Amino acid sequence: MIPIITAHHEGAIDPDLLDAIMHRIDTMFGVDGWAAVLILGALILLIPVSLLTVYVYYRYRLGGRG
Amino acid sequence: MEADFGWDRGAISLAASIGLLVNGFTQPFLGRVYDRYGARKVVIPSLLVLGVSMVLLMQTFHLVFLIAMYGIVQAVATSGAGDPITGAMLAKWFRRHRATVLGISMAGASIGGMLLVPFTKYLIDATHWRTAWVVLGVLVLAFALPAAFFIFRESPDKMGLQPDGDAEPVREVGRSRKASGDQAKGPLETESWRRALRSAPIWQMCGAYFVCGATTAIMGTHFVPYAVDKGVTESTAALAFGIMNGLNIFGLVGISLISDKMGRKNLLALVYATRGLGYAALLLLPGGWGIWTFVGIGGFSWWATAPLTTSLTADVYGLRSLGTMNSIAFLAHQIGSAAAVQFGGEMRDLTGSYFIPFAMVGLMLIPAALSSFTIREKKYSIRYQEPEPALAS
Repeated sequence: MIPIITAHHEGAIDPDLLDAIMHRIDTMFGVDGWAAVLILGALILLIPVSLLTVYVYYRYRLGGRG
Repeated sequence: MEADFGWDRGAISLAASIGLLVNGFTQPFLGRVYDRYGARKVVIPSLLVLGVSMVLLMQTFHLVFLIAMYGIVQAVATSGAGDPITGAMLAKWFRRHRATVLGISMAGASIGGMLLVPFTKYLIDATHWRTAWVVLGVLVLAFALPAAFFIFRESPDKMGLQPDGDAEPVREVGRSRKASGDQAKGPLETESWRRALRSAPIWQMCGAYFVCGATTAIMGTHFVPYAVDKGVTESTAALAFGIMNGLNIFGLVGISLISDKMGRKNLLALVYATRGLGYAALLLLPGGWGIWTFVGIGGFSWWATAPLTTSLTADVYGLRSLGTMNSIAFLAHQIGSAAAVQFGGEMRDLTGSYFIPFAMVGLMLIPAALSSFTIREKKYSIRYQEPEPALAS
């Protein structure tokens, strides 16, 4: 039910692989659930927010020139 | 969901499998709609439906609801906002840097997936799967949808601009660039996808892409049990897969960048051949050596086929039916994926090992590499065409 990260296109990830990945992340970083949600959530939000910021910046620059 | 409803994993897998098939088979139709009406009219409604269907999935009360919402509605919406359509739109904006831009776009999808998967899992653990669906739906509606609405523009010519941000029309033949208002036309360039299907290159690419789907999906599903069979722990297998996805981003962008400088089909063949070497290492080297060699070699080739195939399709058949052509190739990829996953599981049950199914899909990489290598790129690609003398100024 969770989008796959291992193929090129849409699909569902293997639950065993997901469990193993999560276990590995827990072992490596040792963060608790909510901290991980906040850190990953912030990183996810950063991508579209950065895109929109760059878009607004360039639109303003081009608009100013025109 | 398993715990709340007492469903077994097979029931949830059924919804996922239906979703995969619906996604693959609706893609060509949505590709056709894109070719006729443009990206905004396909991608924006698709993102809206995707976001709303994700929010509605919090209301899941029966398996039929899950199948309808996830396996059908969401799968169709995912087709409308997927790589074949966004890739076709990006191909209009870039000619010289086409593969590079497609590679960057797909690397973005790869990075997004790497963040979103653990995020969703942590969110489910911290809250509930119903909350997770709402959060995912809101992410789509609040960020992806506005980004598409404000940023997406159909093509540079509709805005009086040139591809690649050029100030004037530029024609590229091989490695040379000339300022010219005349645009060359490839011998197979067409508006009709039916006519395109009567030519060889699309079948060569679809055949190879089928193998691509088979070789990536079988590994995505059966990698951990295979690694455990070879005496590697689940945790190490997960680390190996994570590293492979990291290498994949470098491979994806790097190979795309090179293909804009030196052509596509030889690199595409090289990517398939490299993946074949990875498979050989995985099967023939002992234990962890096989796993890590596979990760090192295969990682660079994991997604690299996608931008190369899309840009080669655009170079050969032009842009007017690219949404449909990309989607047909994608369908071949998804059929390969679904067949290989099923085949791997069945053969494992039958023989007690993954060796035979992995070896069989791995061997298919040889014809895939040959099929790509024999595409007559210089004859058909617009990158190697001169304008007709009568049109030349």
